[in-house]
Amino acid sequence: MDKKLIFYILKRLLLAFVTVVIVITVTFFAMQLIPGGPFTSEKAVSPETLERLQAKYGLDQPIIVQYFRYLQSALVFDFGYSIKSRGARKVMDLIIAGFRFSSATGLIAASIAIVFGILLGSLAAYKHNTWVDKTIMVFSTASVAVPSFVISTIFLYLFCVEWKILPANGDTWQGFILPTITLSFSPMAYIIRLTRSSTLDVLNSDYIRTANAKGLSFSRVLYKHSLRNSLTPVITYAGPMIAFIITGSLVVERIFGIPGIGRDYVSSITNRDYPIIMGLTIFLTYLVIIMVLISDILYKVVNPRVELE
Amino acid sequence: MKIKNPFTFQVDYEKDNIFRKASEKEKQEESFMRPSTTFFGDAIRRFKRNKIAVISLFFILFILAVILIVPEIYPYSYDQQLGIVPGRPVDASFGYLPPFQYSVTEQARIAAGEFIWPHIFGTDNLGRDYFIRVIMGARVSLLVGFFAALIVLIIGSIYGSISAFAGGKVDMVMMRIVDVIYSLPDMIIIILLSVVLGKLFDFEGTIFAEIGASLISIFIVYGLLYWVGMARLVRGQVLSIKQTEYILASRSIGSSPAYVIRKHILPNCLSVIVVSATLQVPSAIFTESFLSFIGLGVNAPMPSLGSLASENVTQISFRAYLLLIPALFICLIVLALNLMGDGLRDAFDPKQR
Repeated sequence: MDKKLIFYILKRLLLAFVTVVIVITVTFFAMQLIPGGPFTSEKAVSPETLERLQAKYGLDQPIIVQYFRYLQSALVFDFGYSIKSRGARKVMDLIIAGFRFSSATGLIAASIAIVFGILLGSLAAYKHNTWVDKTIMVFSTASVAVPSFVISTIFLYLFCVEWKILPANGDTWQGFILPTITLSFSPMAYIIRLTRSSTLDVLNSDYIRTANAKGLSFSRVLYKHSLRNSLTPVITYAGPMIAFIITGSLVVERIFGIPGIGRDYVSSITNRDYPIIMGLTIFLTYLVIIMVLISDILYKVVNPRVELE
Repeated sequence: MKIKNPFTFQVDYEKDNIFRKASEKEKQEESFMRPSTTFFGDAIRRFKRNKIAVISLFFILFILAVILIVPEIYPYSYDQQLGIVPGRPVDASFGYLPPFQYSVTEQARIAAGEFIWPHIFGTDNLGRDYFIRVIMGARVSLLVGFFAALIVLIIGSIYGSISAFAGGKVDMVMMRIVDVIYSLPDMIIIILLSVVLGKLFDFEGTIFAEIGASLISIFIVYGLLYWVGMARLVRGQVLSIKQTEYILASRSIGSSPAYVIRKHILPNCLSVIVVSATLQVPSAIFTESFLSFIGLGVNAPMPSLGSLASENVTQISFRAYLLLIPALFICLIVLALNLMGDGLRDAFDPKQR
């Protein structure tokens, strides 16, 4: 670890912190702008009760005090209570309950996308300009153009309604097959393109020619020289991919009925359950920022040629 | 008599016959066979050779023509519930007509010898002609795409070029701001803003009421978030062009900075900007359809391709075409725009593959 790298990591951490604070600030003030407080409901509440409730949750304080209080608690994952669900459920408990399912789906989807993306991408590059390459490229171009809700609906219809091969609900492991495949589609298409172009670059480079010229076997050239270099750009995609999968999961979880945070998010939007919207927004921001941070730092570590600013 | 010095370099005109008049044929060889191509001429020539991109371009033009002309001349309107005619009992047979079928009242009118324009894609649950709804939906979706791309283009290129030309501390501060905005998770912010803007403003009675709060929030978010990619791109491009040899050459023969910017920097940036803006259009269309699907799309009678698809998701096992038609439109438009953008990129920058 040299000084430059440590400096870079520190800089990125600072940037991540600033981003998180900005998101919390935006979320807080956006929610303040919405007319009607959390205790406005159909049932009339007596002024005394309202006052006491507001005092209990600190809502009688000036807004700037409330803001700093919220900032403080949001930074340590305390997002308050859900206002619409029965009983006083902590937003963070809801998130943790949903995250179990979402992270499982997301991780499997990411693994499918990475494994098949790299495989198909390098295959396309090795078979450059043949029908194999063209088929793979047509597949990846087409699957970027299909919205995830269309793919999932058609899959759901074909596999669960028409052919009845798979269950439509995500209770058993079979229920996770379709959502994960659907989720992995567009990141996979992107990884295919990324791997293909970087592998083509590597294959045309001088050191691969040298390695071939000195008589190394195909597999040795592949593993030792080509793959290592052609896979580095894929690392940078890890962060954006997580963001992509999160976005996709909002739709896919709703369609396949997985009780994850994506479904919670969409239903909290329709229910106008503001603490959950705020909490999930900030939580997902944490997730994306951490993943982008890790992937960027990893990229610099793996690829020493990259200049650190 | 002159004695030729064997060591001289003096040329003997007469003997070597060097300085003779050029013949007509030689004169013609010197003339230009064709005008030298410009940067854009070159790009257009390369673009024309890319068959897929040209087909995509024509497809987009065709779609544009259809969505602009058809709603003006079509006999039905997108929000007209055909079963409800004032002064007559409601004709429920208009709901969910299959393609090219007529309702009971229409069949009676046809029997009376009247010509009724067919419902090409049938009707939806409220008895509205589905063809015109899809066409209007495509109009709304493309409008969103183009406007969002325009916003990104304007803000991004101005910000990026200011940053590049200012340099120094100004550049650094401007780029740190870009870094922060770049790392925000865009989709989540869009959703948040759609929720808030929908509650916050009462668009009733204004032109905004028709397009809906979430479309406005898409535009606002594009204005706030998405320009950063463009700004980075433009800044990088301006900086790298500033350092090229041809700029140095142009400046050393005495061209003014204004001339350098107009003649060299702008055209070279323009290609990158155009390509990136083209690719921004499908991304905005996608965002809109996604938001429509989770219930944050355009306001009710106004259709968009995303909201049409989302309304009819439940119909997949009974009337799959209601979902598949708008879905197919989204796919084709996004695909064509992507392929055209790729073609433009290759045409403008043949080195980069």
